[in-house]
Amino acid sequence: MMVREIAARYLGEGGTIRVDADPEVLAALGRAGPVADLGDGVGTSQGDVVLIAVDPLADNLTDRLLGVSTQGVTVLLHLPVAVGDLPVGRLAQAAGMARLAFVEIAPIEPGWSLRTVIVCRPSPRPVPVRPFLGDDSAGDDHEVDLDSQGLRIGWEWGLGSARARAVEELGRTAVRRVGQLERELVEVRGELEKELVEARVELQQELVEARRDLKTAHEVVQRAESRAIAEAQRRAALQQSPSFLVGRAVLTVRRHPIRGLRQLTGVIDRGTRRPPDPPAPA
Amino acid sequence: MSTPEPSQHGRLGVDEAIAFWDERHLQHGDLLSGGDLTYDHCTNEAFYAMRLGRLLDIIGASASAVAPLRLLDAGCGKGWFARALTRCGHQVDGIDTSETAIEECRRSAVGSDRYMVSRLDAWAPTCFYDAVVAVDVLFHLMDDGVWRDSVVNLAALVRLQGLLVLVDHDAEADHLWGEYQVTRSRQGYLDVVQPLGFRYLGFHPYRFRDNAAGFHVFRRIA
Repeated sequence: MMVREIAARYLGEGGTIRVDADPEVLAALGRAGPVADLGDGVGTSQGDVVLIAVDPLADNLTDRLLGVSTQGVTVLLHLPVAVGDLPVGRLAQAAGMARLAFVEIAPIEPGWSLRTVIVCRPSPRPVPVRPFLGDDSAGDDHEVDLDSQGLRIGWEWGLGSARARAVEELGRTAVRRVGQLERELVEVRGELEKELVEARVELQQELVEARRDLKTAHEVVQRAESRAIAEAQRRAALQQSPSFLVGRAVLTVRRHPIRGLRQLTGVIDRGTRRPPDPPAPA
Repeated sequence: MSTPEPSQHGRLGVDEAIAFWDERHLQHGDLLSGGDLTYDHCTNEAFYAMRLGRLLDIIGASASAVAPLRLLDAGCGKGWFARALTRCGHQVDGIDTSETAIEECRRSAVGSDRYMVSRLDAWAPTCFYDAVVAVDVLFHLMDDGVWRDSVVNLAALVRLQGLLVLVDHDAEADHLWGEYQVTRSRQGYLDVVQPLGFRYLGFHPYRFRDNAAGFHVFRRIA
């Protein structure tokens, strides 16, 4: 619902919309009716709508409401909060002290700006309440039996507020349960992380030991390889030595005399042959 | 709904009616199962749109994302109106006796709309509604006792200054149209609803071709 719709709904014949609000609210009134500044010195009269911007948390809330509570006008309180955030206690107390009776409450479009208008009338007694988000077809207020309406309000308020408390308690219980589960989750996660750290340390120690063993094994292998290479070199040198060759030729003589003697002769020849003289210097 | 020829077989029993509508929701599509079988698909589309417009005229065109109207679509069928009203920013509950229809409603939900299997005379939520609507449902309650209990129960769910919107003909007398449709007189509704703290705001006819139905609108004032 828009501000101009509500103002127009309650504007009486010949009435004026008297405003004490910021320019944005003033602009929102559009063509709802004749508009005047509440502070222009002209008093309010029957059929007027008094639209005031109200900070529900202000210290002077009651005084502000008392200042506009004059018979015959409809008071529109423009609040810069969403319906769900209304400080109901402060508002109900201030409105009661100012003898303002509740008529209607409406969230103001567009919804993203989160504003609310509360409609009330100066009256020491209850007045006909209007439908939430209703249009102008609510009918004639004079047909409303205020005593019956009061009974009904009492029932709806009693049952509804008791249920609201129970629902809120359910919500709080659910929140507490969620909190408890989250704490348990943190504990479990902490235990798991501790176990993980311990396992990691243990694993690192095992890794260090394994590396050390590997290094030792590597050194053993290297030494063995060195020994094997030296052994092979020694064997090669031995197999090329004259005594080995002579011995092998002697063994061959025993099995194949002619071939053995030929080998023996060759070995002796190679052993006794002088190396060639180096070339004479030029 | 269509206006079937008078039946020689009397009225459907309560359980028969529930089975009849469940089967109808199973056999027919979204529009026909809850619309008028004598209209074709396109006409039913217009029929639904027209009724929605009339309904919005009655419950008001204002909505609030932060504090929506709470509505009950009693006998929601496959939920066409409930979904449309949800899209308009309202928080809608839909109830119907047909499990088939409610399953379809849940599959097709568009937001905060909720659906439950329940008879109209048995639905007992923990909250009040700003408006309770029963579109083309009550004249399918063949048992007068069930009809009365349903109207009384739906009225009980309406909060102060809330609306009770019941569709029927605006006739002087009850009329049996067939085994699954009986319209009740205007006075019959007034006699049941007004003592419950409601003021009668009038009859809003569909004004759709030759359909004689429309909305009886009541507002709770006490």
